[in-house]
Amino acid sequence: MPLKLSSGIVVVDRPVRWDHPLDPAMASHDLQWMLRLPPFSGMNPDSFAPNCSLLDILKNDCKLHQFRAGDIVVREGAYGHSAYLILDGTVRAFLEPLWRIKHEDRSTAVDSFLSMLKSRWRRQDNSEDRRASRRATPTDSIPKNPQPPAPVQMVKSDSSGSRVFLQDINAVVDGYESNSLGVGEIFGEMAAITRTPHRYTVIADSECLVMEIRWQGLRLFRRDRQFRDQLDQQYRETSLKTNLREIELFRFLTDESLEQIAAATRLESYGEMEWFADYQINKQRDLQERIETEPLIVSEGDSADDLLLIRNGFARVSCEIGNGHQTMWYLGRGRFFGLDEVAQNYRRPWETPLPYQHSLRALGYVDILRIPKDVLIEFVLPNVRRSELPPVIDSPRYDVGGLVVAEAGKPLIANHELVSLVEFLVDERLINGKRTMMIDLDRCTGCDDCVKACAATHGGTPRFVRNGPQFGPLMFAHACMHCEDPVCMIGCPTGAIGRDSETGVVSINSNTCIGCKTCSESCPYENIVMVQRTDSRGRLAYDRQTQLPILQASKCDLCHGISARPACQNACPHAALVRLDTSNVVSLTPWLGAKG
Amino acid sequence: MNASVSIASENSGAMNSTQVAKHQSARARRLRILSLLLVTLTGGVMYLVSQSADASLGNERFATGYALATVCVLLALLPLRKKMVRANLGSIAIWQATHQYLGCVCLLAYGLHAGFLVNGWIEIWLAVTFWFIVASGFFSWYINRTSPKLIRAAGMHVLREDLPKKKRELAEQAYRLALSAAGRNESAVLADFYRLHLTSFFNRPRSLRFQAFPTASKCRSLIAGLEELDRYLGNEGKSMRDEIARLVDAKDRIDFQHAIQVRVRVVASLHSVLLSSFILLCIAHVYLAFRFSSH
Repeated sequence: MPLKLSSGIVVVDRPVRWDHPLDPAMASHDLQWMLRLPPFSGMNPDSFAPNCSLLDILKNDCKLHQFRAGDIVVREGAYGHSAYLILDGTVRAFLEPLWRIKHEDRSTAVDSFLSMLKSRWRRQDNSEDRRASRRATPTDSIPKNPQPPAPVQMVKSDSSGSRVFLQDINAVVDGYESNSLGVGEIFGEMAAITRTPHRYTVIADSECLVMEIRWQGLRLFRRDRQFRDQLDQQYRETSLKTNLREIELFRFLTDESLEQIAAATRLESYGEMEWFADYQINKQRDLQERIETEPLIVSEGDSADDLLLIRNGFARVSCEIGNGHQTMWYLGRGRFFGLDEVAQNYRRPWETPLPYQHSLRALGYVDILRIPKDVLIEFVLPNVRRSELPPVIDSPRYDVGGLVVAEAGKPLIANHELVSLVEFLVDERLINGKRTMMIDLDRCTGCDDCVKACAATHGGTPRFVRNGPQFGPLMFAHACMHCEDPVCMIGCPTGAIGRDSETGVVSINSNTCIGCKTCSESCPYENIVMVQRTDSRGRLAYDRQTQLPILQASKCDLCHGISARPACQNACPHAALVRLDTSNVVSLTPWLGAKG
Repeated sequence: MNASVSIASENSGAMNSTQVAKHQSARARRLRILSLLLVTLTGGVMYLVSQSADASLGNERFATGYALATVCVLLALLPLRKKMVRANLGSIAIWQATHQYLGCVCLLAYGLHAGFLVNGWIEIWLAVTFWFIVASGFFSWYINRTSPKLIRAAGMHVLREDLPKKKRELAEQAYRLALSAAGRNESAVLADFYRLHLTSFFNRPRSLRFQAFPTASKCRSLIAGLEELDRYLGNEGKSMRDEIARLVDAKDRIDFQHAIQVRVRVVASLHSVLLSSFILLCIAHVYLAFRFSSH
């Protein structure tokens, strides 16, 4: 039936993938040249679907960048969207931070009016140096090797655009530990694949040509076995050592020891990367059944042969009680499992080694590094201060003979109020949230001022639903949580959904969203909805060919772009609505405390 | 990085949560006392100013009038602030708290300016509006503090826009139960009871009295009425009666939530409308005061 045109609608062409290539100026001779270069020359064209050929990916998901010596290619701490392949010249990856990292996490702060005023008057010193906070101990207060001054960044604009570069690249190279990367090497791929911040800064060492491959293209390239193997091999050779070096316990290790540990370390993955599908199905099941379906990484009572480091994702620490499992805690990126047992075995070599005291299960998809106990006892633990080791396990639940006591033992968190909250957050996977909308139902009158403010900020359509799972007086509303691991980004074919490099806010670019629903179907929390697209005059858009409505994904963008953000939190007259980091339960205690 | 170390530090953080709670509540208490002191101080200053104006043979009503007008203008800023959601002017919670304390200052300023007895029809109208505003303001403050807990006590929080749907679902379930009860001899009384007492309960809006002051008395009397039917019911009829009683209770809870949510909005709107009309009356009053003043 033909669509009746009225003043309230507009007929447009349905947007399709690659309407907006990464580099609209990509020339055909560049494409031909790239196809002749490794790794593309060695790729099997049959690995790619006919509608996403190798040439299509190169044309639409790649961009060529020309850098001059000193130009910043990738900055540490910025969220990664793309991998970079060096086509010509060399770049330098700095293994230690060059600058103090600014954290703009205003939403997690529960500031009073007075503290807000104080912070306005106080001088901004941006003293959140990651390195300092990570390594600072009382004895470290006077550094033995003072750090060289932070490199000076310059911005220069010319006909090709503006470039950010370091003033004295040679002094920076001398002052900081770095690795040189040459033609054919790829960097930034881990940040893009795992949707995490870059762990190092990369600077152009000389004049160089670098190809940016956005995540969507990289995912398609990974279908080629040779390319995938190359990435895995490269990770083992370069990134693994960087990862290990970042571990606080390993900071005294020599390069040789680190290499030995890297050689002995095993990379393992548990669960499905697209875990949201199973999660939706399992959500209907009983809690104990759900826990049992989670991939088991380590079972309590098993021999504690390895130390496990969570590289990506979340894992549940639990113990068996009766016929069920009690959640004791959860571990996120960068956390260890099994250190208590390994340290016990190291400190008391005359005793029979203790097995693992808890079970570890993957919550969704987890990447881990398994470091054998022997290398740890040989290279690491002798160099670690006793005070840095976990306390001795005096009354173990398990010994070599099996279960000693049936009770759960001492909980990992002393505060009993938090224990059940942790269990709830883990079960609902809310531990993924960095800006979770929490509503205190003891204060919320249901006035809907938050919803009205959201609608007023977003052209009349609110971007959240003031409803959701409840835990006691806390409601976790259906608003985008700007997750630590935003699984909604995995499947987006156009890169329309992405996170801001600096703030980590996940938002949707309505110009490039083609309304495929992939993100809304993959969000495990039902925080992305499909709405009908409108034009600048508010007219509803319909497809010219099929005459069906044109949809696009809509979600909270934390009022990106307006000064009073987020509007919902600002608008609540009873201070009942807050946006908090639920990935760190302890950070909630001041707010829960204020709640009483 | 280390789980044990981090858990230990998290432990200490968690152990401190009670201290944090105490600290936070102590801070809130200090802030409240400070604000009340400020209100009293402002009242005192206004009193001194009016006395000094009187002593210097001026008209103290003008001094207190200016103060009252200023406070009224400041009070009227809150609804304006609520409209400016994009402006970075501090959170509305802070504005709301300021509005409440300014309301107390306004009460003092009004007492100094007009006292409790006024003459003239416009002044009486003004005074009546003012006292209605004060009453609605205090009532609004009270229900804003108590309503959330009342809603929570009435079961799972339901969105206001979802309430009609929930009510329809409950009404449908009750109707189906009554229909099936009508078909059986041992439970036919349930169908009669439904026809006589429950049709309007499930299908019509609750009374205005309930909307203003919701109580569970109707629900209790209906459930008591259902229990009285026990002697006519067999085992199956009794389980049907239990199910109908559950639906009555659920409907009453939904109605209760609805009434509480509507009451909050109505009182807030009333307060806002009264404030607007008060400001218009104030303008007329100021004009007349200047027009016929001998000062």
